[in-house]
Amino acid sequence: MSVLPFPSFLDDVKEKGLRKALFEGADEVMERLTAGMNIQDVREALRGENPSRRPNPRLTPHADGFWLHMRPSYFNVEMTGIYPTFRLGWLSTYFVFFETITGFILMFWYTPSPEIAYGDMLRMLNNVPFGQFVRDLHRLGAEAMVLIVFLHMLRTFYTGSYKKPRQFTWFTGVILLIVTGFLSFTGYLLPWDQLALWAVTIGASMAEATPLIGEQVNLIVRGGPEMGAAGLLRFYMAHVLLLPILLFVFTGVHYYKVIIHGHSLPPQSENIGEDTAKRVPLDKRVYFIPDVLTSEVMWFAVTTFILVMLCVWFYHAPLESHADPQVTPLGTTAPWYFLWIQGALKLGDKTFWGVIFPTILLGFLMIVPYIDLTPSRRFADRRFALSVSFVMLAMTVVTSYMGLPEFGVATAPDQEILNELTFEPAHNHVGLLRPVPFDQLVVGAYTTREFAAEEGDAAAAINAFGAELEETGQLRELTDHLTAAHLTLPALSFSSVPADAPRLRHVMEEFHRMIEAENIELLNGWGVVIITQNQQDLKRIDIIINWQDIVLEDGRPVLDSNGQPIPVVDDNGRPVRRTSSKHIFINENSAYFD
Amino acid sequence: MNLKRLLIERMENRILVGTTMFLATMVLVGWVAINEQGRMASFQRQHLARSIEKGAELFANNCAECHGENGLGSGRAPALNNPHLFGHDFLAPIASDIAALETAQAEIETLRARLAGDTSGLTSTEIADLEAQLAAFEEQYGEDPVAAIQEQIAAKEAERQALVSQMQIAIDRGYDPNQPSRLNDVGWGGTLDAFVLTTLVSGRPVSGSYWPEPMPAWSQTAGGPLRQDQLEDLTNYIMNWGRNRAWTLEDLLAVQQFAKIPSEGGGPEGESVAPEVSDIQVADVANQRAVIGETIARVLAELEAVTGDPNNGQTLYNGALACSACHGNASVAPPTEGTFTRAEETRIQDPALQGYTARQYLVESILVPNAYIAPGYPANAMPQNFGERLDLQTLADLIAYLESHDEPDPMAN
Repeated sequence: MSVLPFPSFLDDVKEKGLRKALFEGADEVMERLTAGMNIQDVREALRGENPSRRPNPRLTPHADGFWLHMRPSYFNVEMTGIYPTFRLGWLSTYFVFFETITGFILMFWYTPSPEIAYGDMLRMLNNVPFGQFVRDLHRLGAEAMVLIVFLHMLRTFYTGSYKKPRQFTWFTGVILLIVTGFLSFTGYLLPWDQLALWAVTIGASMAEATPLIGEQVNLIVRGGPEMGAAGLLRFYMAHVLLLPILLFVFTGVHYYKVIIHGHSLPPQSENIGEDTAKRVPLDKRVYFIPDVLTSEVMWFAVTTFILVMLCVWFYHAPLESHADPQVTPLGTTAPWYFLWIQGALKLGDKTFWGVIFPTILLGFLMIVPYIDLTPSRRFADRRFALSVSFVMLAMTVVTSYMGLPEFGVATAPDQEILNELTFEPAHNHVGLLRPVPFDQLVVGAYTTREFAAEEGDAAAAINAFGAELEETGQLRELTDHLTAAHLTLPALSFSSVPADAPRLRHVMEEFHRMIEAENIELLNGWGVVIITQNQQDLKRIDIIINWQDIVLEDGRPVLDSNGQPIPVVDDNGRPVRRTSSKHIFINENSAYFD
Repeated sequence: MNLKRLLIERMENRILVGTTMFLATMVLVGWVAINEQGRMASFQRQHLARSIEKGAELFANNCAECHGENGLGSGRAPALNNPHLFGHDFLAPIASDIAALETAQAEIETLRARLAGDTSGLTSTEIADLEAQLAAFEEQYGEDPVAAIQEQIAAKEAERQALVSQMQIAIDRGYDPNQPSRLNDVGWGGTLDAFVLTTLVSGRPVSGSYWPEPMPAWSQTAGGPLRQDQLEDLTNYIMNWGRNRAWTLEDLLAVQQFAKIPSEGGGPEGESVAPEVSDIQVADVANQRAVIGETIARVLAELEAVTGDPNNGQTLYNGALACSACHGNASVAPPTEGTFTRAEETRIQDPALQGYTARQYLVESILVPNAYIAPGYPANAMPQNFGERLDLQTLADLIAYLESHDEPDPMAN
């Protein structure tokens, strides 16, 4: 007769005593949780001992449990080192989950609308505890994931692991690479800042170049002729729904294939044409429980720690000014992993280099295992394939370099210099003038002529400059120019940069150096910086470059027989001078850092 | 078995490394948590600063033309860098001193009255208490506290006068020291930020009637060029002129142009055309007939010498005087269109208006609306004070407008 009217734990206590009943109960709970391992089994495993009972209880979690049924119960010892996998496949999977979790958190704080999105980013940064931290993690994870997935592909290629029977595994891997690229790219737009809008505008402009249906593709991608509300929503839906679904489905297929065929061994450990991955000799087995499992948990902790540490001290996701379709920043680039396409675009036809070329390249990658039918996975036998891969890698590096704004984009030197001095924080850089401490922005007018003079002659040079401007009527032109830019000055007299403003001095020196470096296109050029107080904690800085106009042809200076530029003269034979200017405002609390 | 290839061979070391890393991660997250408040505050500060910079740029490009480079105003728009906009009351400290003195005086007078009056209802302690209070005042202000207080009030008044006379330049430019708050002037119930932002959003369509041109709507929502975030930048920049309570007279005197108040400054500024017929009620019309008739005749004669500007008349009609508010709707007031024809063909045919010209009828109807109530409309519906508010030129402009816009709008149907 049971203690209670039904069989219960109390009967066990009555029968065996409390101590024994408790122990057996705990043992049973553990066995159910682990799908087959009792407390004793777990203790043995964690101590690194061999299992004390047969059949091996460490295999039942794989056989009976859900979570481990997709993991092999043992690995070949050849596969457990850094080489040959470099943990890249594992890391890719890690980032799939890492990005899903951080992205899910971010979704609580984000609305995909051009009116709200940027404000949401600001709110995340100034009013959501851990908002910046999670955003940094997500962004860093995204960039790392692209890199890791690409390296994973390279590794698989170099060890020949794409060969029979793993052709389809490779094929799904290339799809995962593409999906990862698109995930990163669609996420790029969401903050709706200048960086996002213009990087994506460049990327999306390639859609327009699709042959025959370019216009339709463009409309589908952007939801209209311009990137706007519809486009942002589409990118968002792709980023949080469509692409993640593809990613998870193909990750599943990919890993299933990996397990079905076994992890391919290092090429030198099996004979050519042989695939022994599924036949692991007893003495080469490393069991998942406990060795691989503890190793993976450890790597999980290490990787997470590294990411967290980077985001605490070294990396912050960029956020530039609000997206403005009317203002194109100088030196706009696609995200770094698409620079190779941007570079290729500079080679010529948009349709060919922007659409057909990448499509051929990715298509070629997908079918590599189906055209490379050579059985050997050893380096010595794959000279042709390896050579092709090196050529392609080199090409990627070169075209990526060509994608940078430094390459092949001609900007007038005066604009280049003005931008160099003033640009807003972008790509972790900032215009030279912005980080100058507020108290070193001493109100006054300064000229680069001060720095053209010999040491000790600076004061004379400044006076001479003032007199020259007065004499030639350029002073009047200068003040008129400033008035047109809404800066009316009662008087304009130049002074020496104060000695207690070393940073400002440094910027003026740089300014002088930059004008000198362009002494052909900016013939006899000078620069002026005028600092005025606008509000109590706000200063206005006007930068003016003035130079002698020269004859240009196709944007390049025409040189005479002595290699000198030819000045433009007006009807009276006097040289024509040109002025270019820009102004910025600096607030005391803006905290720009270089 | 040899597990060297696992990088960390011994299991306990793997567990140790993993646990350490996990704890280190937790410590780092804790570190983030500790610093989070400070970080968010500093981001907020930094972002506001950069927003002000962007606002300054927008202001220079879009607003400086009319509001002045330093926000001090010009003949085209009022100053924003302006104690009046920020509601700084220069007279407040003096006013509160005077108020305190007046309260003291009133208290003394009450005490004296009670002691001098019937004290039979008071106990001796109460009387002693009242005397002690009075003695305290005497101690504070001297033998004759009321006289002393009045002297001090006079001194404060003089101080106030001196301060006001120092503001004379500003007063000449439209500043009223007794109405120091722009928000009160316009009856705005919200914050100054919101006032600035909403003004930027929608502009001031009617300000064209008291400024050379109306302030346009700047928001894209209202058909303007700027996005919401840009308007917020601009607002931050304008609000950055605020100096809390640290406004000085120099700040006030630097202001080139103050805001105008439509209800007062919006109308014409010349001499009133016919103050004597202002505010005549329906009941008084009969016994004021003679005055009305004389005045209208005088005004009509004076109008002969003035040429009306129909465009200005239209601006006033639709703007500052807001005639169109009622006369745009035929069910509220006789409609604007066809006014002159209607006067000629219908109104003066009425026996009550025998001998009137249409022009005479219009002038009378504007200056003394109650003199004749158009059939079908209520009396007293129209303001009775145009005789006071309008000057001769304005009246001429209005008449010219009504004459020139006589034909019904052909597009109306």
